[in-house]
Amino acid sequence: MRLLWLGILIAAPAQALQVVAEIEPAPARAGERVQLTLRVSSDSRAAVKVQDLGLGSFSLISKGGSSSSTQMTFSGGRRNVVHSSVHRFVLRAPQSPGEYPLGPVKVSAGAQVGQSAQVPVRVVSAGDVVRGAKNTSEELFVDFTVDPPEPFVGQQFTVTAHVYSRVRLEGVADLDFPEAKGVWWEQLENPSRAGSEVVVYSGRRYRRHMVGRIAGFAEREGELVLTGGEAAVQVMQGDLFFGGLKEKTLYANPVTLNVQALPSDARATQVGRYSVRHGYIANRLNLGDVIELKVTVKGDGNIKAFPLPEVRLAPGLRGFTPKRDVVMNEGSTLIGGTLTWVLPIQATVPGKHRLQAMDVRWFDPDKQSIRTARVGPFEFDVVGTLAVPKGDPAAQADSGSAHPLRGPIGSFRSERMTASWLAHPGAILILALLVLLLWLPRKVRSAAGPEEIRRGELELALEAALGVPVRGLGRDELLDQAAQALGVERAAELDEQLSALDAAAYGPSEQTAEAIKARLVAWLGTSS
Amino acid sequence: MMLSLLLLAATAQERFEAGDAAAAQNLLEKSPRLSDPVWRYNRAVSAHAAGRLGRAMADYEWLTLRDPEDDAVRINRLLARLDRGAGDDAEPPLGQLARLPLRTIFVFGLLAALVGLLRLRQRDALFRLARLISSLSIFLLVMHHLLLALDSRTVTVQERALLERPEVKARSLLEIPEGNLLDAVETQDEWVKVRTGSGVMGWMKSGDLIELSGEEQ
Repeated sequence: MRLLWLGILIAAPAQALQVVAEIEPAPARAGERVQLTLRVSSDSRAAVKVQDLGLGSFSLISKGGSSSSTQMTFSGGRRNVVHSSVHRFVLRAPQSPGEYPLGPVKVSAGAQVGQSAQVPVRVVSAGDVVRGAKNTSEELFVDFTVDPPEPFVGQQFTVTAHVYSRVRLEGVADLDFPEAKGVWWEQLENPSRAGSEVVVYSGRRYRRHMVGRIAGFAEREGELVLTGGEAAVQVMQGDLFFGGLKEKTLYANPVTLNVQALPSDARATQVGRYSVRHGYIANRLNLGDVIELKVTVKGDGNIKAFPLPEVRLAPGLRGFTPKRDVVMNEGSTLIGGTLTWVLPIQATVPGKHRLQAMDVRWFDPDKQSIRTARVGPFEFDVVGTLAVPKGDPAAQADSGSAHPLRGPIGSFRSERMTASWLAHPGAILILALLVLLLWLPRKVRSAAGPEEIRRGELELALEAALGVPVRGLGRDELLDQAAQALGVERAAELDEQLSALDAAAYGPSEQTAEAIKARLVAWLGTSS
Repeated sequence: MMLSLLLLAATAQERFEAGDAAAAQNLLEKSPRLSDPVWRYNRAVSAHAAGRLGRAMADYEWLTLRDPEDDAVRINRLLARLDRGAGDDAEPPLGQLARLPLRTIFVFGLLAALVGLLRLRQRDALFRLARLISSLSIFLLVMHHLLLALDSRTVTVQERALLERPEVKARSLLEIPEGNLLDAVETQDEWVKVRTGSGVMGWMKSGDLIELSGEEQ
């Protein structure tokens, strides 16, 4: 347990508030989270308000909550009441080592005010070992161990947390593993019941409890310092009646790893203890068949990230999107599992095809060398029969000449089906004509009245009688034509009738124009 | 003349029903009536029964395009495909349009035209609707006939290799089964450049192909 710095200010007699500020851990590491605890006692019932934390170079991360209690005592016939409250704050320590003051913290409760003493806090660098952090508490400490201590880049190392105790450990409320940049972490299954064993440490007997483990993969070589490991544990103090459970936060020293570099042609995602298997491809295929090249990598390592080489397909072969499936091992202390990689390939051209060999490579940390497994090459013939889709009934008939001929259903037709008549070009022509009728403009009806219709009749009768078109002829020309066709006398008679018609149409007359015109038409009919 | 044709057809049917489908087909082909659907159908079933699947497929396809709703043709065409095995048939140009339900379209068009004629004097909304429907029908029917004219497909009369070049010793790309419909793209002497339904192009001898519209190339 680290040293606890405690600053106490006993308030001046004039002040009724007593404020005590504590910071934990002390010394703190640069950038580390620390907890500030304020204990305030007063005889006022009023709620305590924190006016100023006096953070200085520290920064506030969050408020950790508060609790309060009231204690009443009788002494010499007088009753004393003390109201106490505890306030917690989570702070971030400054980023550079040094001595930093924290506080004074100013608080108020109703009309009363008070402040704590200033607390000097020593901040050490993140990688520094704090002397005695492990065993200054004689009864209880947490320790993180790394195995192996000198892993390769990309090789799994396991961080295991042990709590050493000489008191009764009831449980672990929270466990923070030490961390560092450039490490990729994978959770390991932790034992549901922490086993324990008795060990001797620095000449003292402890019960050692394994409380958790985690797997890490360093991403670059060099010294790696893991810091910030801590555990919140519950221990029994005294007995259940007079004592009880108490939660304590234990802080651990940094853990240092020496990460070894990989050979230049190996990558961090290729480190592990693996075995490689692959499927086989039939040496004769039908054109269009889809075959699957299957590679299985099994073993311990960061298998989720394990890369497989790209396959270069020769012309005439088409590759589809590969399928990648990883099944992780469960319950093991080593991260690992089985990676199955399937590449569907289709031959698009018949003939001989060759699938080039590909090397699956990885770095074995035990042998400290690169290992290689060769997949392929595969050669196969693609025959020029078209691909048969599954489920297609026609496909089942594609087995060559083995099946008997099914033949047609039914016999000859003796007459043309109605439908075929409908589809006959002649029928379509008839329909087209009907449609054409629908599109023809409406026949222009004469808007003329009966008068003009009758004039039309008269015109027709004249043309029939004279044998020439009469439209546009003047009166004299018309009579000349009539004289030629009907004779002079009848031409004169026609002249009289036309005059009578004009008189009836344009002037007073005993007869209507219709009657005269009808008579004239009839007369022309007899004349012709 | 008609009597002799009828007699010939009756004799062909007798041969067919007696189990001699090949003779029936031969008899029919003595008096070819390529535009007659009845004659086409009879030749298709006799060729099918005789195992001449290329000829049968060609006639079934011809009939299907002219009346896609003819169930007997559809079923026998499917049976011929089963007998032929899997293939890679080329579709007619604008395949969906070529397989329209012509019978239904014609009936609709005819009814609409008659309604339109009845409302010719009124020229109201019903008239205009009828005119639209009948016009659309006639448009589809005419388009269909134009597509039939543009259909340049051929059918293989026997299983043959699709060659990379128009040479006998050229590399074989595919084995094309008998009765497979192919698009004829180009002709070069006795060779025809064809395309399968999936788009593979190659050459075949014209003697191994028959046109949908009629006879061997």
